[in-house]
Amino acid sequence: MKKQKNNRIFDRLNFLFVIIIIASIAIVFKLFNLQVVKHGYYEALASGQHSLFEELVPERGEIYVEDKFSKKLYPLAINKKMNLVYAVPEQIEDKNATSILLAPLLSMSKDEIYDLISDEKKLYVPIKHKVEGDTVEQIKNLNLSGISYQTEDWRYYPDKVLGSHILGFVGFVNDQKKGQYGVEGYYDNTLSGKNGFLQSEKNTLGEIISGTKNFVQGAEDGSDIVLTIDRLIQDKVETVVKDAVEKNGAESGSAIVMDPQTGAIIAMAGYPNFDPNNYSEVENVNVFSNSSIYELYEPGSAFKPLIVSMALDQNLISPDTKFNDNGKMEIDEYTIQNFDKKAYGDLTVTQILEKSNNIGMVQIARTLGREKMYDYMINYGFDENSGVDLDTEAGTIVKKPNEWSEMDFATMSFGQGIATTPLRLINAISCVANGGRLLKPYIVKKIIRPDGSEETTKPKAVRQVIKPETAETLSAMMVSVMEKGFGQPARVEGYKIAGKTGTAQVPSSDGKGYDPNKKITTFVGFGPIEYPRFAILVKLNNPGGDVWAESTTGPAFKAIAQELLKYYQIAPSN
Amino acid sequence: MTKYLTINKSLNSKNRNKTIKNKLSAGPVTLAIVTVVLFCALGLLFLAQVFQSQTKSYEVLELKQKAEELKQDNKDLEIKSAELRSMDHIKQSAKQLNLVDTKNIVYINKIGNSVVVMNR
Repeated sequence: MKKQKNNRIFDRLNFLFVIIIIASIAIVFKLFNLQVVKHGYYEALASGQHSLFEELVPERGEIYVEDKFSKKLYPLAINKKMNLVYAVPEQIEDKNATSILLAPLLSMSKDEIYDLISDEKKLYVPIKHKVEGDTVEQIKNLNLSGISYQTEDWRYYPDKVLGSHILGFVGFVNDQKKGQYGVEGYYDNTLSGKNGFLQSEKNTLGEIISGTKNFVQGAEDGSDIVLTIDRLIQDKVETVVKDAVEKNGAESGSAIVMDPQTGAIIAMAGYPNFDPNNYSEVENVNVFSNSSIYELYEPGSAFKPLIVSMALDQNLISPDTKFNDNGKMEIDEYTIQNFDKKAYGDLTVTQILEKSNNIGMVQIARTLGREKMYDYMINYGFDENSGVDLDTEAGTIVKKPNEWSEMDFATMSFGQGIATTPLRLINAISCVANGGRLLKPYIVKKIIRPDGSEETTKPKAVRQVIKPETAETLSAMMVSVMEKGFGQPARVEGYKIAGKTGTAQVPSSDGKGYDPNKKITTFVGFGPIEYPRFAILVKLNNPGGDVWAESTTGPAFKAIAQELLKYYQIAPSN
Repeated sequence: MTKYLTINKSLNSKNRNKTIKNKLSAGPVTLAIVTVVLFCALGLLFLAQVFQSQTKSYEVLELKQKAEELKQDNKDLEIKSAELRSMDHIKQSAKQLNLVDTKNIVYINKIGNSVVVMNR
């Protein structure tokens, strides 16, 4: 009996033991499945919860100008933290009241805000970007439900429209910030820097857990850029151009001031312009283009000094060489006349420039010959980009001389039938100012890297175009244009400044001939003649009425020249 | 472990025993306990250090955040300074201060090392 009892107990124990074994095997099997077989899956799942991978965004480099006297840097483009005010519509208790309260603070209409926050299907509605910190504080004080804010990084231009065509702006391309136009576009890689990354572990609050393994590759901030632009001169030039456009009823206008000794651009203005802080509000995107480097046009008589320089350089003419102007010249089926349809008889080359005589110019060009004329035009850089460090410079091509008709050859001598940009023209004229060297224009003075090292731009002479003696002779002839010719409205009392007017026809939009209702006026020059410190070009597109360059761009040229002479403290020549 | 020190409760001086020194012997249980206690102590020490470094790290993080805030404040001041020096602001200030453009500029020639101007 006792033995049977013992056997039964023993069987139950065995049975229990077996159950335990089976259960243990099951547990081990489950653990094996979870920890070995599905190890990868759960590791990834856990990693997603506690791993942190963040892209580190670099700080975009800023753009400065240097004060001429104190050498301090002033920012034209900086990075600023501003706020996005947004709404969570379903959390807003009283949408009407919220709209009324927000409207004055955000400078929006109550209806506009109400429409945005009314749609409860949307989880999140941005109301306004670029809201200043103090405005956000006022909104916070209202304790409005469903209204919140987040910080955003924006590019900010404290001087608003000043230098807008030079700077460009930072926009979005495929949700990425990208510099467009101007310096922001050309130097986008330099300014952007490089992204970094952070890989670490985070707690339930999303904070990085210190002491855990983490990998950091720091972001490389962008480099800062200092421009050659003088802020005060830039402001003056912009004001002068705007006034000239408005006073003369022109469609648009531009002006460039360069240092002819180095190629540094001191000012570059266009009107109409835009505020890069609000580039998205611009209706006509053509405003973004910098007409000084983008717009091709026929320079007209402003090109004549260069033709004269070519013939002078070849010793084919002198300032006193005479040519006869009988009032008209027949070429093929065309007739070339002077702008005033008059005949002037015998004129010296200097007088041809003073009176902007077309007949005389054609004869000078014929004396030079088309091959030589073509070679000099190439050397003056009319067949290549100037190389200026700004985005969207337009290219141009000069046809080979064997492709010129007789009429092409004739009209090129007085600046029609050849297309160039204002920058290329002033760069060529600057050769005359600096002893005959073609310089590479530049707008960036130096680049300051994040580590503090600096890369300074050195002036670069591309080639010697004309002899220094030729440049000197032509300079004197151009002073004569200012003192005795059509340049007189631009003359500055007491100073010897060289200059030339240009009133050019505009090709017709149908490609046949020129539009009789359109013209482009130009005034280009440099001074003071003893040692030229500046070269100036002013251009107006389609000034209204029957006007010429001396009355439209002449006064603007004078205003800029006077300002420069004062600013540089240049004493009168007399 | 045998007694290390023996104090006899008897007041009779002859019967007082005093054990100066006895051999210490530890069995396996004692060793196990000591090992466990040692490991626990080490573990506690390690934990204490980890907690301390975590605390310090959070303090460092807080300081870093504060430094970032100060950097941002500095940046805001820089921006404010730029706005005050903007051309628009300068022109407005010039108007308010009744400043005028320079009109007549007189250039004076130096004679030797001296410059003399007589205002007639």
